Amino acid sequence: MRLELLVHRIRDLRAGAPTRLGGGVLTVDTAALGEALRAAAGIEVRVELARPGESVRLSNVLDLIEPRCKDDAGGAYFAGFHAPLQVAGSGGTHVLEGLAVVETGALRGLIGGVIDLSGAAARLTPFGSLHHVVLETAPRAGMDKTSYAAAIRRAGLEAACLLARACRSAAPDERRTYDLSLTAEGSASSLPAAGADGAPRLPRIAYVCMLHALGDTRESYLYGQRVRDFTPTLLHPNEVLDGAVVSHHYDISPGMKNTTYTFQNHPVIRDLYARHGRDLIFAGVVAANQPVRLEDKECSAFMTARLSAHLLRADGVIITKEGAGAGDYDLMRQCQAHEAMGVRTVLIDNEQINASGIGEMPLIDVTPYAEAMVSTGNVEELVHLPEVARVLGGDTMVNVPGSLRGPLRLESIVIPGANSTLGLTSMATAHV
Amino acid sequence: MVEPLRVVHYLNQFFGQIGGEEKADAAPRLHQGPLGPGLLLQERLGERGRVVATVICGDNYAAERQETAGEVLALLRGLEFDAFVAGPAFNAGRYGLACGSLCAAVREARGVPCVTGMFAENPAVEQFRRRAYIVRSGSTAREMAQAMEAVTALLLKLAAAPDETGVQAGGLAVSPEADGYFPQGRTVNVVGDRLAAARAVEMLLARVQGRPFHTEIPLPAPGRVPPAPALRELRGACLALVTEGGLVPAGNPDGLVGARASSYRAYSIAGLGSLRAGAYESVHRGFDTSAVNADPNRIVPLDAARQLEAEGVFGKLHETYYVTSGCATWIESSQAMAAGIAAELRRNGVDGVILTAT
Amino acid sequence: MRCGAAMARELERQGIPTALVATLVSTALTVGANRIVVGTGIQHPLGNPKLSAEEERRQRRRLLECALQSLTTDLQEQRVFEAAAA
Repeated sequence: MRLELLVHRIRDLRAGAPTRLGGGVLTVDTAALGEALRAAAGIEVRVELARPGESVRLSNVLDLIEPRCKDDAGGAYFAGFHAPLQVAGSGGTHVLEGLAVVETGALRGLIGGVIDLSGAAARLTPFGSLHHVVLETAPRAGMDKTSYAAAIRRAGLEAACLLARACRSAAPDERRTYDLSLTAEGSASSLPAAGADGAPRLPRIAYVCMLHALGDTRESYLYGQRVRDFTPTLLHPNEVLDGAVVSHHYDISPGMKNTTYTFQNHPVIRDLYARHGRDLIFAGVVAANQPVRLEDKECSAFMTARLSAHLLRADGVIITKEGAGAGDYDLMRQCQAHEAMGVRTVLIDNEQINASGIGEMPLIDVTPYAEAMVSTGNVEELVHLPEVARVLGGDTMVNVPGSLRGPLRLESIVIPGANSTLGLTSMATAHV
Repeated sequence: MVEPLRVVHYLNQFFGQIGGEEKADAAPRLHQGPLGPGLLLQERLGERGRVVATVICGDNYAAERQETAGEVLALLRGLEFDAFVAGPAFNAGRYGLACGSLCAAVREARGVPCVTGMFAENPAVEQFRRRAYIVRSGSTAREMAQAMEAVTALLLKLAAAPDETGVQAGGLAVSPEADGYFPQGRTVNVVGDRLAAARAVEMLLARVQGRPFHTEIPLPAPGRVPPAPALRELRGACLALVTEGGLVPAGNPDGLVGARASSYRAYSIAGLGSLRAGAYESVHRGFDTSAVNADPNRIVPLDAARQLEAEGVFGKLHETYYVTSGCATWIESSQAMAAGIAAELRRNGVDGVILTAT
Repeated sequence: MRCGAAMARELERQGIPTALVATLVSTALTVGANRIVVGTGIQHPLGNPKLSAEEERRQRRRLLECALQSLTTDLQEQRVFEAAAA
């Protein structure tokens, strides 16, 4: 499968009409975009722009999406969700790199995050250095959180597609190719076989991407399908990079969810691609669910591990989770199931200790097999946010006392991406 | 030119030049200026600090009396100082305990940097490393020079850091690796230069190729307590229902939080045969609450408990149920809440508990 | 969940036998609960919306009977109790 990303680097962002891209400067007709999104989503949407380095704080942040569209006649994107069901991950895809569409909104039950675009807190998340097209949304009267979340989702995906489509006539700055054959023949012929020329056999490494589904506003979608009653399945890594996974987490703490942007720029998949053929053979991706019932959890882990061990013939897997406590449990079941089948594991997780960093158990669950873990930080550690000139997304948040202009002292968990469980963060821990 | 640090130094009777084992019962006393190893400390500090006083106390005196730390703090009450050094104690057991407990006590009471040094196997290391900076030293005083060098270097760094705990935004002022002290059991966030995903791939390659690697989340030791004695018989037993499922009367009248709870609520179930849908809701933030909202007995099983009570399977149900939210709730808070509930249960003659969790 | 297990551990430590009904058994074991009764799901530890009302009530009763059994069982170490199947 061959995916070509046609990368347009966004270096500056301005308001103006019409929406267009020239010389790295994206001009956005905010009024026209807002109108289109109101029509598409059926809720109030106002569009604001923000640039990295500005004294701006984004609040009530629910999801971030990288603007994308396919390089075909329709340009539709997010297959099975916002576009017809078709296989993602091949052909050309336009990418507005350095830019994110930011969904914001507040309603009882939704849990939003905070992103600073300047100062020390901006360096805690990769989102702090992006340009942002911020959607300030408001529900219709009487709307419940499920239908409001679904409408915000429509607005976000539509905005991402509209922006990319408006720019796709520009010449891309870079063509980035993701080309990988997962058939046995492909791997055997293009890469050194065991012991050939005395070279050591490259280890086969797969990636297990767990998606959780704990409610109507707390789940990820695969090709527009819910993953609640779902059997673990093989994916080509390109499918994840090309919009097959859409995040739909609206009522979970920002530190515990994976944004759509993070899936589109999946750091584990990109790193495995970068090392493919040199340090390892990228054996493929398994998407696994995180079911609610205990027996189903054990079963999902078993079904996943057999795919990794016997179909992908992996020597090792990276495993990631979504969600908080129950997600740790799923992570440990996957770890155990893989190790039992002889597949070595490394788990990525964030820690929940407390603000002091001194506590008995950093994870909700552990297994003795989990001897190799990467930490993306203690989500409870406090972060100081200075006063800012402007707040986009609303001046108040349910879980934050006072005005969001600051100064604020918040747990790291409130900052989307800071403690990313997909590993798109440079956050680590020190034991002092 | 910054003002030199005013440093207080602690020594036992031997290093404090009072005498040997026969003076091990000597009470704490204050001496002006440096003494013994304090001269070396003063030399290392140079112009950056001045040893203004030395506290000397016998090893047995310090080890046998819990109140020694309080007595030393009293001796120091009128004294202005910016930093505290004890020992180093090397592998000396009683001396190590005194150095560790005094560093902890002075740090907690006066908020100034406190550093001591010990050999890894000194039992005081395990006892005090969480509360005091203890630099790794050799096992005997022959290694005094290196030990004092490390103690002084760490002391100066801590004194220069804005936060006494040594952690600065954007980086660590001190670390066990760089500064040679025993880790204090604290996890702090740091922004590194590599993505977590890249670190994971690197770790996995090391693992499958049999190369050494270091997990970033050491496995915690499992918690264990001896099981409580079983109930002798059920027919006379009073049982209580407790839940961490966040189930409260509709509208959450007492404001139970849905995550990171540190307090619990108690609600009467006297006279109720079951929990009615609509009269209760779960505020727990960690799971989809629709199923328990539709039937609250799914998390607080009052209907079934009443049935068993009526049939005489057990004596009676305590007339109150206790509730908190077990979502990202710290173990320490959970223990404290359980201790509070335990006290109430004992007052009310409750013999056993059915605790429901998500 | 970690919370419930830590509460159960503390109640047991104080000598009050405590049956922890929970779905995440390995967490309960790791944190240190002693009497662990396997629940029926994170979202409904004592029940199942997919069952008929009658079946669900019977299931809940069986779970409680299992919890009572754990309270009257002398233990030397942690034990997981499972309610009899329907």
